Amino acid sequence: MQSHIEIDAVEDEPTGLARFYATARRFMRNRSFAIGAVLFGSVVLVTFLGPLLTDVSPNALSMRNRFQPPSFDNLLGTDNLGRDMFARVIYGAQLSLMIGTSVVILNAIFGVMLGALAGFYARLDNILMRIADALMAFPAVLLAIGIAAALGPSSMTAIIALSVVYVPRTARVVRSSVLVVKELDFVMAARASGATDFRIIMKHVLPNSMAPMIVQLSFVFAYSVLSEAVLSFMGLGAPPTVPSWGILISEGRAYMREAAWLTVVPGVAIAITALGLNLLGDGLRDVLDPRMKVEEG
Amino acid sequence: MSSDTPILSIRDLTVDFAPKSGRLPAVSNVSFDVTAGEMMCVVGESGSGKSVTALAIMGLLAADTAISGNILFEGRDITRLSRREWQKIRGRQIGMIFQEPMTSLNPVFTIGRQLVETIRHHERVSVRAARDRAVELLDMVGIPSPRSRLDDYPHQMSGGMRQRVMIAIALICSPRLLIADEPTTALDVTIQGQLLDLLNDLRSETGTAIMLITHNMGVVAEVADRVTVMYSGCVAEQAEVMQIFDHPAHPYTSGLMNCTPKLTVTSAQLNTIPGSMPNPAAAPPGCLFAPRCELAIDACSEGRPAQVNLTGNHSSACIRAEMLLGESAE
Repeated sequence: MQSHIEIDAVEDEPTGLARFYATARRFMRNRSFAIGAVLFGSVVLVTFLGPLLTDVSPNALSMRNRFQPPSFDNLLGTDNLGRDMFARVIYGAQLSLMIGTSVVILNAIFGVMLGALAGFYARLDNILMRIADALMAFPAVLLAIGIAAALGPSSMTAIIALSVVYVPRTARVVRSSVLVVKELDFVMAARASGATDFRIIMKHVLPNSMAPMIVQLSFVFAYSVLSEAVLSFMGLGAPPTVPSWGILISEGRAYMREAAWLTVVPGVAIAITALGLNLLGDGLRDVLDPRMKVEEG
Repeated sequence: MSSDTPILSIRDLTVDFAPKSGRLPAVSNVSFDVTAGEMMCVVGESGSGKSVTALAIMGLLAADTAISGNILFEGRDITRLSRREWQKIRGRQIGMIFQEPMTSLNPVFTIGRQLVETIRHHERVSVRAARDRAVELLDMVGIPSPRSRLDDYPHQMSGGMRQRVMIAIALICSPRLLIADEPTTALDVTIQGQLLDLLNDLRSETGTAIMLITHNMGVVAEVADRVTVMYSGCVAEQAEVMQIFDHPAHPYTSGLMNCTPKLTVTSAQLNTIPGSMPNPAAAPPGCLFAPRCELAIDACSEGRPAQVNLTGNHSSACIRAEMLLGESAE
């Protein structure tokens, strides 16, 4: 009897690495997760390997090489001041990912905290959610533009503005799953064993609301990359000396007929990043759905 | 059994749901005692207020409820404690296990982690010491090779195993009182028997009093010292287990006993008590059981019957209790 159970336990419990491969296989079987992971993964890869891929400075002027179409010398062509578009797009990716990551971190802290409080305490719920309603009544980009305009243009401004816009949305998602989880039996059982509210939220409610949180944060990442481009396009994000994707499009706009690559290249970069993250989020939503897990039943 | 001072003493407990918008009495004027080290069974069909009483003892009722009466735990009224004071009692002095072992454990952590964290929440010990204690507890509740089971997730265990883990968690602080709310209802019969034996053993080993809530008279017969029969939020009858089976003094108790299928009698249909419990919002004026009672007389629908003390610890809320006792004595 005893040996039986031990054998079962060994079979049920694969080693760390094997479990990682099994999980990875399950995730990659989901098509949109796989495509999203490849797209976003290559954006991240290019961003970090960027300085190795090109030795051209993104701000090096070359007046003799203005408006060069894509060629072997300049993979993605040059702009009105002869700067290499490949280098500029890669350095722009750093900014986009930095801003996206910052907004996601702020969302993970404040959105999750406020959502958990609203979901857990019915009294706070009304106050917090009415504030969220008020903020969400504005169209996202318009509100971001308003806040950024009020604070003055800078990368920090963009991060703050986008966080203010997306934190209520994240809080909403977290709140709704907290509302479900806090009614589950194990929360009552934890309370009966003397757990405090803080413990219940941290150990029981939030870990069980993880899946929608991860999905929401991946969407927030996509939207912030997109909205950051909008903000800097309008001159409300990064200063013009930084090759942000939005600034690249904004600068290239004047030469759209003669040098289409100036707008198409950063446009495609934004599209790939946002598409990759959206597919990733869609895939995560399916993969993390507990109903999809066969081994839990 | 022991006539010591009770560790839990409930006096005229009344719980109303939705007190603001038309009150719904879920429990009314319930009084009973649990003495140290005894197994007290609370029996009744669904909706009779057993679980609400248990949750009231634990202070776990929803916010939209009004409690009146007293719950004395070791002589101290716990109905008006602050949140913080409640948290000190729960788990430490009174433990509780629930009906649904399948969902009562947090699915995202291993059972070892859940045990260790609860242990460390209550006692200042190192992780290693807490793990050893967890192994000890799992061993005590009869889980084979406990050390290797520590790293199992709840979904890797069967319902009976999970309920054993729940009992282990409830026993961490060796509470004076353990409330078990239908702990075996969701399990199959063989596991049911094992768990009841386990509870009984733990009671004699640790001296923890157990308040066992059930709807199964078979369970009562097997483990109870004393029995409280509840019907529609009121206590119908209280007695020691032998008395209640030999001389039931409330028609509802006899009704419940008749519903237990017997091996010696072959019948196509199981016995039932006809009718259903009254709606608490529109309860009849007299005895709440009168509409379903075969023995009801006109006097039954005139005013709530009071608890009548019969012999010793035996009491019944039936105006014809003496007659019933006389009948069964013959």
